Amino acid sequence: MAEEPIVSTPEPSKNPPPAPPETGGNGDGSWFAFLLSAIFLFGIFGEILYLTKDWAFRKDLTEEHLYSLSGSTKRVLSKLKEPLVIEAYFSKKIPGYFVETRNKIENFLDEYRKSAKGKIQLVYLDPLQDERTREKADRLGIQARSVQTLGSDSLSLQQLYQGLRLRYGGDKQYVIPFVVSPNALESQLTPKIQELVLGKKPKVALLVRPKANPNPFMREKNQTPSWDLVERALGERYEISRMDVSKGQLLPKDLDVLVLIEPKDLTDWEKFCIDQHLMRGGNLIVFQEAADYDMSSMGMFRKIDFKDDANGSKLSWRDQLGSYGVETNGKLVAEMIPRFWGRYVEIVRDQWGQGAAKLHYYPFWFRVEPLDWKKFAPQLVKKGEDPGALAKTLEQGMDTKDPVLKGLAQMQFFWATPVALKKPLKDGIQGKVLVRTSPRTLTESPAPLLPPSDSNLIKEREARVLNEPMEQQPLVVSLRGKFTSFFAGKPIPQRPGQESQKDKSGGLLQGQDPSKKKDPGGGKQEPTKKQEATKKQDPAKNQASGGKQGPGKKQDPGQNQDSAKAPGLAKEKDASKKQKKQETPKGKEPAKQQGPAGPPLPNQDGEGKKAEKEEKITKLDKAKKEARMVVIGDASLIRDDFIMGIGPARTPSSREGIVFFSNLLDSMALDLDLVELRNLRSVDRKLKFVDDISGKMSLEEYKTLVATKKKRLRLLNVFGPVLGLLLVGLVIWFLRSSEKRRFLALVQDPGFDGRIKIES
Amino acid sequence: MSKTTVILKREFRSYFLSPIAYVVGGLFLAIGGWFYFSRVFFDFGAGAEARMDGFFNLLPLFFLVLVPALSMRLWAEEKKLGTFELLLTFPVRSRDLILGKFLGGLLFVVVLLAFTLPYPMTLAAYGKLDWGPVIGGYLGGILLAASYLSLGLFISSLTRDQIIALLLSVASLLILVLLPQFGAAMSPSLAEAFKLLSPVEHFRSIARGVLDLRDLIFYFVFCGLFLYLNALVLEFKKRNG
Repeated sequence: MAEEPIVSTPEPSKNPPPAPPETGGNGDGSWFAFLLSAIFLFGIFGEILYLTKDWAFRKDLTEEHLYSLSGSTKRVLSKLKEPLVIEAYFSKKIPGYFVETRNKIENFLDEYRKSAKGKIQLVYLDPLQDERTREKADRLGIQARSVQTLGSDSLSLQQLYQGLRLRYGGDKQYVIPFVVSPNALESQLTPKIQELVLGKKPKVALLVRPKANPNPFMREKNQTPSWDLVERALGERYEISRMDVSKGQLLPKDLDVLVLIEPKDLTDWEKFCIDQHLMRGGNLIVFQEAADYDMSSMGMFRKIDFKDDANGSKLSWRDQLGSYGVETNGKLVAEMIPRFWGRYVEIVRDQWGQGAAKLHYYPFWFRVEPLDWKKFAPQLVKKGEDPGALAKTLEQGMDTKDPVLKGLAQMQFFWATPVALKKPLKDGIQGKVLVRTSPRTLTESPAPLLPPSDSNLIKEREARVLNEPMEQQPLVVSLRGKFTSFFAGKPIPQRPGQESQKDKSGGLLQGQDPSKKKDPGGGKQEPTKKQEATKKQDPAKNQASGGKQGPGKKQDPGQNQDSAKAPGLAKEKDASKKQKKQETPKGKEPAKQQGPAGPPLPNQDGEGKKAEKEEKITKLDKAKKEARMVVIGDASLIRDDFIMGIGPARTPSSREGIVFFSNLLDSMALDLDLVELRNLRSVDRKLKFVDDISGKMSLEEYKTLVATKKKRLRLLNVFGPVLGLLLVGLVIWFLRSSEKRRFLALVQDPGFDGRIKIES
Repeated sequence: MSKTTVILKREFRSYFLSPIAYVVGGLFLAIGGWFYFSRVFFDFGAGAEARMDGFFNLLPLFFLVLVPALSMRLWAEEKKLGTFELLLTFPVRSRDLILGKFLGGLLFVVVLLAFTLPYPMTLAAYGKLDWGPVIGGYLGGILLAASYLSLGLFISSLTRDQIIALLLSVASLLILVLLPQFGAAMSPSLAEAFKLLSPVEHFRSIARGVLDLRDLIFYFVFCGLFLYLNALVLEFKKRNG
């Protein structure tokens, strides 16, 4: 760059003469004219802003396109075959603090309109301005909410309408009574549009059986674990019901997905129903637990006892899972790399009642990341071992290629248990591990107490892990194929409520001992005398009594002839035909044949008895259709308290759990169109100051290193730029001084002729 | 080299020759860095995240003092030193003078902002930083500074005293910053209108990582308005001495 002139001089005369005032032109030059011009300019300024306020050209620079419609929404909108009318019942008179929210909602709706390429018609209606519109809104269930507004001298309440009605294909409609937040609008609206386009809601049944809190006081305070949040979150998109087979019925045939959350006290009948759901091609998700801990017990984390199988159950749930290809060992996983540990914040009170937060690292709460562990073999390998050999045994932490985990940066687990795939899997079954721990983990039987505040909790395990072989523990497995029934070759278990049938008819049901008498409490799942009796039965005897069909009779190979009929029922041949009909694909089935309706309980009226007579349960030994099953070795990751975050610091929090579960359901019940909606904001942006993958560092070393690094980085970033600025100043000062010296040297030179050469 | 560029370079250089730029710039970097890094590394709860929102949220507040401190001298100093009249006699158009001074001041703010680039670099080194909002934040910061500077420059042209220019600029900007709050307290329609007029609201929109044409138009028109008013003042002074 050319050097600047040392002395600035006016530019040569080649410049034009002083230009006439190109600005202003205010004529007389008075302040009044100036003010008038200024007011005029402000008017133009306001006018431009007003005219351009609806110009919506924007570019979303965020990595996850947080402020744009997702690909999922665009795909759903592209499926619109008929015009979708969105009626926005928005009152125009709104409090000032609500303007921004309203603008964002309107912008979002406008984005929908544009993306649908003419298939969406957006109509704004103000119920406060028109009585008929208000009545219509009320009829639709769009109710006004009262919001506070600040008047000139008082607070008053104002009615606010902000509801939507979607109309599609003439008769289909959906109403959102009140749009609360623009941020949640897309995840609320898009599934509804999808539902309107598809014309149905997938059906999901949940079996939620939380363990009661061992502390009766906390139980009273409703501190029993709950899974309401996931249920509520998914309720918009799915038809959710609770699994109920207590009356002896099977699960509905049109059930898309069955979800077992923390299965416990499972009766044989329930196991049979689950099995038959799989055999019919229904999908199954199991959130399996080995142990759970009570966090309300003064930070002691006391184990909550529970059993998978109900009292009196002859068949083991774990065996049943094993028959499908999933092994569980009932142990807990402890992660031994501090980087992945969850943190528990304990409030410690001193003698004056003052609370102070204390942070504990807890290896039983940990996160899993999609790391390729093969790469870390050299860091992990023990002395004298071959890193290459270790690398061969290691796999990726999360299979992010699978749509269920796509976009998930991590997953949190809490008292997780390993769920492994059986080797080899049965023919026709494909299985894969979706999530694995790090290789530096321990597995152990659940201890009665596991308090995070126990200083030995980590120390003991740090010593132990060095002697243990390195092995990744699978935490989520997925299986697909035509499963073989766990009940193949076994009799159909006793149905709840059968005792009364037996007594009335004088006949026997399979698996029942004729010598045992009716239990008056039949139908309940509590251990009864009857169940105790069945427990003692000889399975071989049961099996023998089960085969009622003659050997010469032709039967569907996948369909076992074992059947539980109410005695004295319709002809066997007709019933068999009926059953065959029942096994036809879902869509072709008449509605009344979709699984046996719940049989009547004892003491029914005549109609109930009639239904009872018509009922027949057929057992499938081999699945006719391909089904999918996913087993997760943790149910806490979708539990309310873990989703919300634990304690006052709301840490750890399993936000990913709800995303994972939603993805899982969508992949099984829908066509994955909505996955992207939830993967928004799912990138893990947590700062990792010490990236110790090897796990060879102790907790104390880890903490010290993190603190030191943070301190250094803070100092560097606070004082570095200031020093940089001062350095620039010093350089300029130095250059200026040398310039000055050169100038002085020039003018003091005896040969100086009074002329200064200007370089430009 | 155009006249605007010559004036821009002169103004830009003059900042580095004045101690006030180092004091104001140094304070901005030290306090801003301290505030931000005390919070971004605080990870007792859910854990510190690689986000720059905390820093960008502070910018409108810091610029409220920083930019007027830089703009106060642009005309007022010329007047105080008696070079203002001389400058007006130069064969330079008002437009070049104003643009040169404005861009010189803006360039200095850009340099100061460039000194904060180690912040996102640090975050990117230890976490997954989304560069979209960072780019938006810096661009929004520059546009916000430009709007503040254009107003400060205009106010500086109205007075001879630098301190008065500073106080008037801070007061005017404070009104602009608080405008949406005033509007919200009065009526919804006013709230919406006042939000449209507030540079901070437009900055927030860009800083979250969304480039909206309306925000860009706002800054362009806002700067244009005050630079034009500045030109009117110069013309007025040229004519009236």
